[in-house]
Amino acid sequence: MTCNIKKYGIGTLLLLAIAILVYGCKDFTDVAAPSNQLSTETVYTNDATLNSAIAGMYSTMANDNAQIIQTNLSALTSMCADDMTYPTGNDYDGFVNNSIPINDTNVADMWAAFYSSIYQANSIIYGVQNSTQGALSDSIKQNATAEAKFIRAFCYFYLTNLWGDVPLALTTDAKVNNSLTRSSQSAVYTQIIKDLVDAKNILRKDYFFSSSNRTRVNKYGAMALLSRVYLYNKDWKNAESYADSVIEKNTIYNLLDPSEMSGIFVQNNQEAIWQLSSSSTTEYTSEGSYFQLVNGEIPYYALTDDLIKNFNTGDNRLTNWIGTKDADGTTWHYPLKYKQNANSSGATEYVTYLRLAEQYLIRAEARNNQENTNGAVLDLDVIRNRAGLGNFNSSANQQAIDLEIEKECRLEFFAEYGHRWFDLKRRDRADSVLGAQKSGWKSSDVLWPIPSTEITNNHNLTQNSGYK
Amino acid sequence: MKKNSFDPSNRWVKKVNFVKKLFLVLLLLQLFPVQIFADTNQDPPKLISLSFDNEKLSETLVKIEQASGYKLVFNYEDVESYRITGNFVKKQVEDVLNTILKDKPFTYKVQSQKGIVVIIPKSNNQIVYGKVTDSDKNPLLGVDITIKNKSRGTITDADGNFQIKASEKDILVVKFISYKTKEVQITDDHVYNIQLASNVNTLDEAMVIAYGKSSKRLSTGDVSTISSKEIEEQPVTNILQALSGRVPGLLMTENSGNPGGAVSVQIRGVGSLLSGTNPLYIVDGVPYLSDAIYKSGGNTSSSLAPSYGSSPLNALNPSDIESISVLKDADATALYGSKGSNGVILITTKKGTAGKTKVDVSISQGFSETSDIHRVKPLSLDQYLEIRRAAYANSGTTPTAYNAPDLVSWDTTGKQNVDFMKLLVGKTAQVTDASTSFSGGSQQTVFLLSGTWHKETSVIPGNNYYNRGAIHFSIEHTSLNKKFTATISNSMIWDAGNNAGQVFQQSDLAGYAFGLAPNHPLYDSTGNLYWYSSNTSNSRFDNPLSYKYSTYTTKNNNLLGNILLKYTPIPGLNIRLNTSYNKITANSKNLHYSKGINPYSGVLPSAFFQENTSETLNIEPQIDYTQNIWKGAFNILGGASFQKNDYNQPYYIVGTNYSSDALLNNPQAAGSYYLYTFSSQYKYQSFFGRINYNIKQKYILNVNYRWDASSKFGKNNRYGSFASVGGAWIFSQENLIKKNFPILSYGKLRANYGSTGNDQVGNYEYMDTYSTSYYSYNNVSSIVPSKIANPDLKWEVNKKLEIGLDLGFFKDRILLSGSWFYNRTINPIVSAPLTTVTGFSSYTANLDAVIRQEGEEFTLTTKNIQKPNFNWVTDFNITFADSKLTSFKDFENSSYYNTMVLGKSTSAIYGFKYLGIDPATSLPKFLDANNNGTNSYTETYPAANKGAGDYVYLGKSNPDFYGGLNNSFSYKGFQLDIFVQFVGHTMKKSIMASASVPGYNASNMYNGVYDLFKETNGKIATRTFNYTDGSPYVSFVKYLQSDAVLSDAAYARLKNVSLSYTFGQNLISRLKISSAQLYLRAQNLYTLTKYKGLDPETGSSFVPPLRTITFGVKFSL
Repeated sequence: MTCNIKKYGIGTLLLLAIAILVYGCKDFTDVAAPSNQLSTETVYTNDATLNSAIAGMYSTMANDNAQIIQTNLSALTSMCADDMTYPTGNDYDGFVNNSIPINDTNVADMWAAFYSSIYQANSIIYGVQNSTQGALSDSIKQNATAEAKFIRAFCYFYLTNLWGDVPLALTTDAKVNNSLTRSSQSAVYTQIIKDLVDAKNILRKDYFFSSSNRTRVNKYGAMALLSRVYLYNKDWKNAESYADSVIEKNTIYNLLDPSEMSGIFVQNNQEAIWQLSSSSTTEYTSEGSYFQLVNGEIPYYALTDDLIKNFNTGDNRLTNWIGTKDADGTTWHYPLKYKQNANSSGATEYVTYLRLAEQYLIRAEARNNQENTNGAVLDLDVIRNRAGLGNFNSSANQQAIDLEIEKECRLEFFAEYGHRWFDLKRRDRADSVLGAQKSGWKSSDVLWPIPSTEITNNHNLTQNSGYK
Repeated sequence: MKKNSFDPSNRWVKKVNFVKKLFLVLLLLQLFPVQIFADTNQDPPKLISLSFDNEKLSETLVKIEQASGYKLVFNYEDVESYRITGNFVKKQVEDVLNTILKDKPFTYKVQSQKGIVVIIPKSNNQIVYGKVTDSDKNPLLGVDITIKNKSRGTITDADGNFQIKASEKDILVVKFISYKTKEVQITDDHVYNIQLASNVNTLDEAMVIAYGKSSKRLSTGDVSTISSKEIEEQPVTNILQALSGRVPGLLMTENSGNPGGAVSVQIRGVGSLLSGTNPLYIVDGVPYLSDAIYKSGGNTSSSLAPSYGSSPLNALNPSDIESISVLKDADATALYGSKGSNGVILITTKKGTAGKTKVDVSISQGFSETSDIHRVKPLSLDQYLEIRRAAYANSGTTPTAYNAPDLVSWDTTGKQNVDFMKLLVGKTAQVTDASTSFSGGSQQTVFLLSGTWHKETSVIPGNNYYNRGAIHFSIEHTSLNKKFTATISNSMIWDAGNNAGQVFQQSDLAGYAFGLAPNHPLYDSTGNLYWYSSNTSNSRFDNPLSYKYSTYTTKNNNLLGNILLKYTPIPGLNIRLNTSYNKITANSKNLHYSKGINPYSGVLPSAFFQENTSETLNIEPQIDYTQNIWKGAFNILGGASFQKNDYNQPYYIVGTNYSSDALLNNPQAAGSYYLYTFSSQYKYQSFFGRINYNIKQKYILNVNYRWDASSKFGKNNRYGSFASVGGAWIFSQENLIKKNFPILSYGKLRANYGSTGNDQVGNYEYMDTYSTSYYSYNNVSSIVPSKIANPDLKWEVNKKLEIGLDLGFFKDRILLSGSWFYNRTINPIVSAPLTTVTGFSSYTANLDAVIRQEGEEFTLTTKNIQKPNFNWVTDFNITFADSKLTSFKDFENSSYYNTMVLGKSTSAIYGFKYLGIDPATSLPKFLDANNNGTNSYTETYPAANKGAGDYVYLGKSNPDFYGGLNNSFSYKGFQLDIFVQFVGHTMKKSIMASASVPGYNASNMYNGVYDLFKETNGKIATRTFNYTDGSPYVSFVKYLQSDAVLSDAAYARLKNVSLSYTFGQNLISRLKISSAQLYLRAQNLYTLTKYKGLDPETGSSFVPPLRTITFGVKFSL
């Protein structure tokens, strides 16, 4: 019985065809991305998708997490301090009494919201960095990185002021970030300053990228936040100099006239340094909606008598920014800085995280601490005069001026993104001010608890003292 | 090793002809199916011219063979060492051979009538050659040849050839399993062509396995097969329904009696937490959809789907199916690598058979109705009113027309008296089937062409239906030299239906009917549908007839095409290329007309439109080779598989606020509309191999290996290897057993161990992705991160161990088979929690956990009576199986901690332990499992986990056992099959699960609640919403989460009765047809159960599986 290779021609060809097929299919399992999702790699292959990712980074803060990092950030910190109570509705006992449970969902939501924005910022920073040479235009690429660094710094500023030492996630790698330990507050501030300086150096002076809307951060936004960060770190010189730069830019920024004060959060107003545009579908801000809600006649969020009694009658801020409701023989005061709500039509207001008035008060405090009391009072009076108050006693001593600055900050920025709470803490005044008013106050209450699920999911995280 | 020298025609010309003809076949075969390949070239032996220059004798002989047209039979080794030189011009074969063999130790013998020349060594002229074939002249490999009363023996090679030393008067004993043994007397002839007649018994029927065929007798793995006969006997819509109770280890559950509803299939319990648990379906080699099409590819952006689900297998036509093989253990499934972990179901469609052209026609008509429509009853009107009134009294509230129309406005005297169950699910549905097929062909070409039509209406009133039409064809052509085979098969299936399945609306009309307040008015005084303001939040339902004004239609198209090319260059070597393509398109539309919308809601008409497509392309080259090595037949298979799937949803449109019903069909006319799209892709490649070594049909070794790469996983983990090793020992072949246990006709011990994988997760789960956001920012559309990367994601690995024993007694009249399996799922895919520091709260990841599936399966077949005119066969199978979570790293931090307990069944049910009525409060009382003095509603953690909660282990929902019993009788032309399916399991009284607190809502409930109402002296009824511990409201909520609502749901169901009569030859020949049969078939005739619910199989309150009776006629021309 015999063999003859010639007869197996078809078989050989078939085998050859199979061999070619197998060889040609080496990378067979690489697949196209789904049409309604983009793989992160493909986002950073052209300017348009990069712009959409940046829009997404702002939009998450402006829309998806609006209630958390706008209304709750303002309300819960005001309750922890001495500005706000909740007469009805939700249960915020933990905040008002400074005894927050470790599994409080509001705390966990806020922690998660800031870190989700940090993930977006990190994704943009590394996406741009790893993008193919020439795929993205240089100006867009650099600006994107600078904006992402600003957002990252902004989020870490709130994280460290609410929780103290926090894990510093600087990559998008889940494995790395899921086992981080907490970084010291000074390390967090070092990173914040580094990011903000980088951002400041690259960002444009104008609002080119947001078509003249003040809704994407520019150079002065980065400088305004830097001056605040330096102030919190008692670097008076730098705080003053960055506040200077912003205040001097009067071709863009000017305080609103007293007559315009009720529109302090109007879109692109002269005083706004950085705003978030509200969603095109709701058209009003989260705070505009929640702070004006009433249950029967009682507002869900009420301002404390302690705050109200600090206003002189006729203070423009009292008349323009505070609403009242009478019910059951009580007059309730509630924040009315944002005017628009669900009943309004046509968006006229934006969420405003940075506005010029703060720069005057920062400079006042920085000057005062550098023995320039005259300069300090000059800045203080700018804010007082605008509110309809007379000049402050120009011969007051440094300490009196400092207290007056603290008070003006409170009156100017009540119910705005944690100012009062952070001021009391950084000035080491929380124990004396809040201890006097709140029966169960403990020094450890200056920090919120790390959400308990975070510790469960990452054993390297530790709880703040005073919490179990 | 040549086979084809009988055929002297010019091969090259034939090849060209063949290609031409192949094209012709594709175009014209249906018209000229038989005659094209008739080939009558038969050249007579001729004079040959050859020259040799010091060539090997073997090559010389081959040349002579080619030139002469004779087959030369010789022993290659014998002739290898001789060299030949010579020149021959136009010589006879004999002359040439005389010359070249002159000085060699060989002689020869010409057998002209057989076309054979045998070269015989001079030294030993006792050698005989032969070939063993079956009755169809196919060579048989591994046939045992011995010389009677001598120890000498050999086996045949892949070509069926053998040679053996034998002398005249010796007797050859030719023995092959499943064939009748034959004895052949040796004469002076040297060549013997031996044909064996088959001796088929059930153990030897061909069985489709992974990339090949085997039989029950020789298989090393665990494979169960269902034949077309068993499928045909059952009037089912979905072929999976035909598997129910018939395959050990397979649990089939119908989700609903709605035609086209979902069917879930689980093989040997659940071995996965997050991944899918569907088996892998393969239809004629094409991996087929296992998820409903609107969910396939990980689609979550489609909502327009029937609420009772749908099964992609609906788009297959039961009467086109030849066989279904269910592969279970590692040996059977390892060749499917990363996809075989949940078992594999191989579906093979029908092919034609050679012979006279045959026309088969089958027509049937049947009726369906909801079985046991009143198994459980709701409260009577009086009981209902009593509870409602007590609720208002207990809460100190006064019923008003606003909050209690049922007490104030509606008729409380029972004048209406409508049986809502009867009204909504009580209609008799009709089922019509018609099919015709043409088949036939020659030895070279066979074909099958069939068309079928199926129509069924629904038990729900109104013009609801489910229609299906299918065309199936298959053509197989084999070249004259039998070396080349091409098979083309194609199915085109179209189905369409409409039903009450709707988006955002109650569509389970059985549940709907049950929960409706007994005095709910249907029409107002003007004859229009009755409505009342549902703003009071105490009504559960709209007008039950409103569904009539919502239409839901679906339409599916399924194209399945398959081309298989096979080339056999030498006997035993097969090269195959299998290419297949499948495309399914589904369209759905749901229109909500204003007449069916509560006018108080202020909602305007709406419309939903959706399309989904799924495409699969699969290419599989394969080579296999069979050779005898030592005393056994050695088979090696190598192959590769390339698969590409595309899932698309071009649109899901939600159109709302239509101004007019007339515009509903046009999405652009909607007041506002949203569009959702989806697409995803899946690619897959693998290389696989199998070695099978079968020694004397006694010892069989089977080794499988597969290497896979799947696009579902990151580049780091895209590749994986799977393997299995299995062996079988047919000990009944041992002489020792044969002598000592003559009643044992068959005995096989088999064992195998191996690994398979599960990759049933969505596509792209390993990638970090961005998705488009609902919001734009500064007029720039925004994208936001939707998933964090997990480059380490890989498939679950399932390590399977099985040991089985198969026995046959009394010449296989009793067949008993038992298997024990022990499978472990390692690193199951879960939704793993992350710290939100990562930006996300969870991702899809493999966890360090083990799930164990363990169980036993038994089957018993007995041929009770075997008489010429009367046969009775009984088949019984039963399965005991469960899945347990055996280890789980960091379990207490996982989201599974709240629902599972280590060491317990994955289907464990946890809840409060009901202790009866507390005499102090007259309210239900529950066990304080953690002894903390409270019994709070929030203490819901399984007690065994935390020692904190009051939830305790109450049982499990996985069945304790399940199986089936079939009795088949035949008497002359009559055939009767009676099939009972049974399941032993525990379920919640589903009818209670949806109950609201007694008296709280204007909705009816299970009448068992009335007993509780009485036991609590009426205290359980309340209108006060109160989650404080000890309140009547929370007491009832806890009652629903306690063992008080668990019910023994064991059932035995008379699943199928089939009676047929086949007409005798006399009548047949008078009618000039070849066969005729009348049949009566019934499905779900009767259910024996103690279950307190509508149906113990579906569990939920969905329409139970329907009782169907059909009558039909079948004949062949």
